[in-house]
Amino acid sequence: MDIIDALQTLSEEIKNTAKQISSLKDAEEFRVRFLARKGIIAELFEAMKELDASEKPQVGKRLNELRETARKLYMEARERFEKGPAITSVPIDRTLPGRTLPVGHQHIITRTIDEITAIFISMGFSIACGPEIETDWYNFEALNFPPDHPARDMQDTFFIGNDLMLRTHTTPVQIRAMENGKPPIRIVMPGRVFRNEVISARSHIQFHQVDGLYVDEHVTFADLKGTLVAFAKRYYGTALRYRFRPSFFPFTEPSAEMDITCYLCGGKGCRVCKNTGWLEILGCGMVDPNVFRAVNYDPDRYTGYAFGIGIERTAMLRYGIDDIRILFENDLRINRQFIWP
Amino acid sequence: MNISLPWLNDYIDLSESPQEIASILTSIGLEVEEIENTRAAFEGIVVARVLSCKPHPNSNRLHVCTVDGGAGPETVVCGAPNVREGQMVVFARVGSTVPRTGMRVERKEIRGVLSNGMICSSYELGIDEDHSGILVLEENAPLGSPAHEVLSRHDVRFVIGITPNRGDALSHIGVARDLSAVLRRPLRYPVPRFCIEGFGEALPIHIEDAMLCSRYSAARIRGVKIRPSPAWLRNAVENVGLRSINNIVDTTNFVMFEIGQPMHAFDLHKLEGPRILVRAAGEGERFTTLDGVERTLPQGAVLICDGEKPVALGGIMGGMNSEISNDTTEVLLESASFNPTITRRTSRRLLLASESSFRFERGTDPSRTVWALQRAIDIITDTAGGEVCGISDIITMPVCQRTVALDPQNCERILGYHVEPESIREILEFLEFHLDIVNGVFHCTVPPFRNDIEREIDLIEEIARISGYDNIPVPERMTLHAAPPYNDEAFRSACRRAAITCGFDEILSPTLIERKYAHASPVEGVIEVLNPVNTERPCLRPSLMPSMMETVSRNLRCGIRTLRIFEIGTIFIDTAPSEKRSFDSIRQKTAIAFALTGYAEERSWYSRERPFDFFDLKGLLTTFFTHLHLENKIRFNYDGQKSSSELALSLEIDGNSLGELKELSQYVRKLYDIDQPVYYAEFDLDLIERYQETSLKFVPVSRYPMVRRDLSFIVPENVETGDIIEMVKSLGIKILRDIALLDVFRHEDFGVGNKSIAITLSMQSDTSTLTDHEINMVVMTVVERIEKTFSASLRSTESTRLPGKG
Ligand SMILES: [Zn+2]
Repeated sequence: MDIIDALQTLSEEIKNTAKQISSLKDAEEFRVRFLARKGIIAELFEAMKELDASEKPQVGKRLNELRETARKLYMEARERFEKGPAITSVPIDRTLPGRTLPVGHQHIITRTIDEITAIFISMGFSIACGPEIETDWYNFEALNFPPDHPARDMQDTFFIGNDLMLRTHTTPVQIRAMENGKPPIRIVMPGRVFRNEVISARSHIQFHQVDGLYVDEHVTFADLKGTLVAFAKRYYGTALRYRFRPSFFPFTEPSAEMDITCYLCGGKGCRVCKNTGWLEILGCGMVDPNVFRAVNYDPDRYTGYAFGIGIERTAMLRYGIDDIRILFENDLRINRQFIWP
Repeated sequence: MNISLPWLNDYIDLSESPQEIASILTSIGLEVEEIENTRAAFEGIVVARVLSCKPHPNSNRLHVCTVDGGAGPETVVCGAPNVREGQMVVFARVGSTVPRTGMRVERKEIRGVLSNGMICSSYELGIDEDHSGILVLEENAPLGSPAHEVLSRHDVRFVIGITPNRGDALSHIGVARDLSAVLRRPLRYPVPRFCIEGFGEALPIHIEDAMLCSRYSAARIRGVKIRPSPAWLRNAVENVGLRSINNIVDTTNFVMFEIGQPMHAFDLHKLEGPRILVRAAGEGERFTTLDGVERTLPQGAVLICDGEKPVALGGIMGGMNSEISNDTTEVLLESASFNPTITRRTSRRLLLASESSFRFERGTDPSRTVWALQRAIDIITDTAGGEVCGISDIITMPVCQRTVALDPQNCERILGYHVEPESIREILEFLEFHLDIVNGVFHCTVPPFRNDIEREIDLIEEIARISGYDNIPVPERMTLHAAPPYNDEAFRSACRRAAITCGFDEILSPTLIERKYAHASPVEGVIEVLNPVNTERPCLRPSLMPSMMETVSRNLRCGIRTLRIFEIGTIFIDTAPSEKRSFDSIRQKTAIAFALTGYAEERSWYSRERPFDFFDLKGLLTTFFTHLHLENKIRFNYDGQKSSSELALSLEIDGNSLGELKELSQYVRKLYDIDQPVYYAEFDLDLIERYQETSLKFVPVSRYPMVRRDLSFIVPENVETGDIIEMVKSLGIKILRDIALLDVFRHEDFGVGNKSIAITLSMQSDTSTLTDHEINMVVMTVVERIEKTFSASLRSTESTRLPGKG
């Protein structure tokens, strides 16, 4: 007999037998008949060894298929009769809670840094980082803070040695980036900074900033405005109103601060915006030529802009947190409130 | 700094509302932080009519009046002799505050009659010194309206945050000058009446070092009478937030707030000589300032001395010993220019700042000292009488005029838009620059009060500032550059994501920690801050453990019993002794730390409560490293004895130590007041970063079936599963794809000191279905080697053949 025909007959037999299974006992009989070690299929595998080498692959393939079909039919039948009665005999309480996995939470500050840097990355910026202990050169001198200038008073400094301090801003990373690269430089610089002050609800001895820097030929104040307006619209919403007003930073000239309409009162004036209707969101300006000279860039050839965003302030406003100390106390009842889908 | 709006009006005509002025000031960099006005002080004070006025039944002097302030009649007891029926008066309701005295108006019984408020005198309202009777208003004064409107008491003042570069703006004339440039409105300087010509020297003045003081001008006035200031002068100084003292001191303050030149008045009779010597303080020299505090001066501080002793701390504060008193009849007025740097250093060292030091630090206008004297002399002779009997003016360093060139094209190069040269000219001229225009380039002579203007860029800022930043266009399009990759931060982000995915909560804790915690870890080279304001936490963390444990402890006390936390942060270790500390001797490393405490499984309908143990942390770390695709590069090792009871492992990557994971000791837990087991791990993230997987490649999978064999062995207790697995892997059997531990257990049947270890071998070939023979060969080899190497004996074997695709 042609073995292929025999296999066809067997296939039909398997299907027909399967249809008639009506109990667990029938299912077991089915298994013994077709699938057991001494069952029909196993016997056929054994018999296959006698065949011509040319027939073996085709027959082997067909047998494997048959075995899979039979196994599937058997499993289905068993499941039907094994589980079937259980459903009717013990009612299942479907209100039992499911089995869950623990959920981890990101800290508000690192999340805010991620959101802000992501916007600048989408505008072609890269990320750079620098050390938290800095030298006077990087933290002050190269950034055009002359010794004994009142501008240094704006930043109460933790000294840790002769000429060494905890950085008071992330701006020194600008100097390091310019020393290590060449224009065009387009980076944002997130990091932790320190001020030697009394800790209160409004100020802490440590906080975080994201600094930004773009240096190239033909970079103008208009480009600065364009970039920061684009950022603010992405972060705060396109409907926002903004203003740039002159300010002072030793490392930029002209310098500015950017305000947006207070989104808590819509500009009418409230406690948070000190009745001005405006919220300061960042400081910025055109890189001072003295900074370029400090890193041996030609200020007649290159121009650039820089900006700095305070992360704690941004996050506190956004989430309505009124005490900065909360951010570093790590009360998990608070940290765990923040989940970003 | 406080700037009074009515005072500004003395120098420039401002018709704009206070809000409009404030927004202009803010837009040119003189940020108005607050608008304060005396309206608040006038709250509840209204125009009222005296409806009736009868003598007080129990007093000859007092009257009982009925007044109507627009809210119905009220009974008021009034002591003024001039009160009459039908008058329009100023009525302070119950609950309001008397502007002059700051006293609250209360409802009170006066000799048996209940008085509901107060009719005010012009003295009480702070208008003048007249307290002879109540203020009577015009007949047509609008009944019920707020009194400050009728009285024109719009004494609005702006609290302005002046940036440290703008010493020139620390006066009313300075602020008015900026306004004049924006509004293109003329600035009016007052013209002093007093003429300095024809006077002899006030007294001998000697300046020891020109660095201390570049100019010292002085006037001697005799026959003055010290009195309270007249109302206008008192109002002026009070409007900028100063306390009115007397006519002389108020005058010096007035001139300082008018032009920005600090002045000081000495009682001339208290000066030995009389003569003046300006010298540097010697080491340890002591001096008692006006505030009554005796201070040890830093070496080099500027001292103003008379013939024998110091009498003032130059540029900062006068001395007790030469102060103006009520008996003073002859004064010496000082108007000088002190060194900004020395003033700042002294002020910082002594923690003593004054209106005067604030201005000197930022630089004053040395060309204005005599003008300031003239103004002060005018006011003093008006208010205190007396006559000038000598003028001195010593200049040690002449004012040098700076010229800075501005090419209008550079304005456009920086700002990104075209500013008309005519507009540039106007702005600079209103700011009192003198201009020479040669070939389109502006050669600007900088006025002496603008010590912040040294370069072309500084002029460009002036143009941008006065034109308004709003005029700078916002481009619609932006150019992009291809940005280079940023691996460090991206890797830290990946680690953060991996840890969060493993169920850990991220914390961020203080970099500065307490000394007892910093030195609790065995790490050497803890760095301390030299000048912490908060002395409790002076140490830079040498490890993340202290802050992690503080977090654990705090949360356990808040009733949270299970914590899975991690932190990524910088740690600091100095490799040199502190006297040799340098930037290069300090290691600043990024670390990642994990802590577990509490329960892996809470009690629930499907499981029993199970506390965390060491292997929860080990497993979570394995998962963490798997997320980073580093699971095959990381090795967990231990030092010392096998199977010891100490729960600690070190981690290595490529032979480099990364850190360790462990159960914290009782000692450490006690330090942080934690009374449940804590599992802790900390690693060097910078080191891990160097091994990050950056090139992923596709590897084809086998089409043939995978065969599994489970083997269980009885082995002596000291055999460790890791050793068995390592050994089998080291056999290098090609078709042995994986070997994994199934279980470990003990039973009395195995004999004391033995245990059962079950492993599963997974075998597969890339080229064919494995034959029984091939499979058995592998199993035999493995069994034989395990039995031999570990004194093991095979207990059982089971096999499964999984379907392949072939
Ligand atoms: Zn608001």
